[in-house]
Amino acid sequence: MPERVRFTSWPRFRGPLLLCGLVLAAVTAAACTESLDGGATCPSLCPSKAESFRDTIVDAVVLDSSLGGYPALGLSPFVLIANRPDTVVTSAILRFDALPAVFSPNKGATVDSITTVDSVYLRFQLDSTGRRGNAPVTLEVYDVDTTASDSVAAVVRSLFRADRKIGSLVVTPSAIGDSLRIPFSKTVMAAKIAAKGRLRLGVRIRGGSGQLRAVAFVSGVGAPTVVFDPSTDTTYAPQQISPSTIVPNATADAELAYAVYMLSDLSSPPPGVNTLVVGGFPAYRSYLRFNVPSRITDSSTIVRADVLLTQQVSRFGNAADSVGLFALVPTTTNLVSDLRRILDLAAAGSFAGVDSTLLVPSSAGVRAVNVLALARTWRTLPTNVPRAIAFKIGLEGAQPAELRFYSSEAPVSLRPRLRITYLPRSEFVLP
Amino acid sequence: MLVLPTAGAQGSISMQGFGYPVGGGSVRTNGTGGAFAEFDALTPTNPAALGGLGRTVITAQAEPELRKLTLNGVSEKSALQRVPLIMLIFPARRGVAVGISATSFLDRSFATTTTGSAVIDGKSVPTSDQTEVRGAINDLRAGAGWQISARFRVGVAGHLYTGENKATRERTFADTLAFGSVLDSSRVTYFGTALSVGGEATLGKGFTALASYRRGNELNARIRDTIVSRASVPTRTGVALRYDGIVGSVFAVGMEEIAWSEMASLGSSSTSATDATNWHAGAEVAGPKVRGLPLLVRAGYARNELPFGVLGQIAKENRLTAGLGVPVAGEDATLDLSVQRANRTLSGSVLKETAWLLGIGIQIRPRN
Repeated sequence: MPERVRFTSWPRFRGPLLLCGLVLAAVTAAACTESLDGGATCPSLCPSKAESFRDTIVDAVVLDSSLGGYPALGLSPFVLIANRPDTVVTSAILRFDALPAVFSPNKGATVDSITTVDSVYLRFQLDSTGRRGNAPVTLEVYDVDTTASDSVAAVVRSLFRADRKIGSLVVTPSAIGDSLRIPFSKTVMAAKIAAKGRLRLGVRIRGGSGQLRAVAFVSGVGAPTVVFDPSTDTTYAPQQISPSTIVPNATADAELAYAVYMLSDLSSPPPGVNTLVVGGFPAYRSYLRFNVPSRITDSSTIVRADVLLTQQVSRFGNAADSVGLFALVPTTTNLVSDLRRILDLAAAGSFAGVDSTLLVPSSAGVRAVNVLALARTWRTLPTNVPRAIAFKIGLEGAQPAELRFYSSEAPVSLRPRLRITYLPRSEFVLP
Repeated sequence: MLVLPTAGAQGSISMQGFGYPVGGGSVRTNGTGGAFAEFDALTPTNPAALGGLGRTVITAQAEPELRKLTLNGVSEKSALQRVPLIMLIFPARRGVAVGISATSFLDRSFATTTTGSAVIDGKSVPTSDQTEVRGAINDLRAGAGWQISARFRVGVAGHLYTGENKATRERTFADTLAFGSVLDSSRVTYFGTALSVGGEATLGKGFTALASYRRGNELNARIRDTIVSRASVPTRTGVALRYDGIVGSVFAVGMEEIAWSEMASLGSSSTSATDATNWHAGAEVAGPKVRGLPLLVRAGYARNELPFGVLGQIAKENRLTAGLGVPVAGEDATLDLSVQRANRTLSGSVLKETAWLLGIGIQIRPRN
């Protein structure tokens, strides 16, 4: 039966006991904040078996290839103007299809026709890191306008001849600042304006070995411009024309591409057998597709992932200077099989957390490219998205350096591989 | 090449294995060292204690624990929050009362942060490991007690043991550029059943003998609906002797044996479970009156063996307890408070763990 409790009066202790009760209640309430942090007594109280990661190097590349012709015409942020007969020879083509016929003197309300011009220059913003050459060279400006099919490189290239030369400037590349003005014929300029024509200029370096890298953004900061005085009155502000072109039956992108672009007279050698090339001029990109065992991607946590590439010595371009190897992350499904299309649609590696890697073209050996962040996304990708990566070089199309690696057709020990360190998932909750 | 199969980094004496056996005692029972467990109706141990209750009782309690672990002068504090008991009792006819309750059976909540290393490519790489496990195995009991006569009570109850443990583990490397962290999680659910019976006999001269027995059935662990291990709910046998021959006072001593080893196969081979024999003594005396009803003052002592040790070492616990029962609404509601000071040791070790376990519970007895 229930225990018997008989009550007696104990008034002397009522106050202290009630106080104790209140204190206890308050302390109990204050202890409601949970803090489970521990571990100071481990390993004494933490009996656990050693946790081991697994290292594996996988011949996982099922497809690799190098694709040339990058960057796409007109999409390079820089133009390389170079005369390095042992390496690369390039010219810049700039189109100014919209020439002004009138001007407002000193930006006033009146409008005057342009009947004469003076002080005509082609002005470039330069990337000073792209200068090569300590000896004087001549920058030559040509009128490359033609009624022939000027989207054909050979046609444009043929216009770099003496009777088309309209300006020049002798410079020492290493001594140039961050901008450059090349004077050219005001007669030609005035005639083009008078004829309501268009101005298309070709720029190249001759008379010595040298290289300049100019900013090529069209409709943006730093685009090459033509600057001239619209009158002999020197108090008037100079006129400035930005590149633009009209290509019949072409898209706006194509017109943008042809506004400022490069012509290559001497290019880097093709990849050759057993070789993947990244960079060069015009630049190559290389694509690698992997078949990674699902036990690694799906049932493990990857803690390290490197693409191991065996680098070959390259002597092309600035072979002793470090260049950045940048990743691209293909995102298309296997419905897209055209590699160029896949690369066009690829995202920059930085979006997937893949950082660039600095390499020296003239060196050789196994190089590890950290692709941890990318490899960790493979588990979440739909199965119809190939696990792949592509590489492009830093300053693609604006510098001639290239990186050469052995492809999957090379001997086994030289092929691209994946080195992965992972921890298989386990159900570890049971004590 | 081994894969860590267990969340072993419990990091305290009381949190080894499947966790700390909370006991499921009411605040009153906890304030008396657990000695009242066999006859306190609010403690779902002996179903016979339900018999004869004439009023509906609703009770709930919270029981935070402030723990301090010391090893070689290094101490570490942690705080746990528990709601170890919710119970509803309602009377039926002819001395029968029915009770349903939810109590914490084994509480397993801990977090540890340790430093270590991993061997990668033959090199040792510094790491930091964080492990957190939360969850418990709970005891859901439905029981009935019957007061057969003025001297005898009996009871029977069915138990469902359910619950889960969720574990997360993060391992980070010092070199965050080359290595990514590992964040893994794992969840296990438990299910088991048991049947308990109990009885109480008044011996005369204020003495009452009490006994209860719990027979465990299968207890299994499931990961994603797959049974990964099986064991039994540990068998428990408890006896107690109560003396209430002094006006306003109740004294009790008790002993229980719990066959925790029956749970051993539920965990991995690194889990050692040992049977426990626990001793309890406690008293409750009527103190000064509050609004016409006495304030109940409690004290007790318990000597317990904890079920799960470390690598074969056995953990033991001594508790000194005290408590108050404060009438807050006449006979309709009582506020119970308890404080327990626990000292835990591990055989063959200099490790010491001390804890303050604070209890606050409210019992409401609506008029029928």
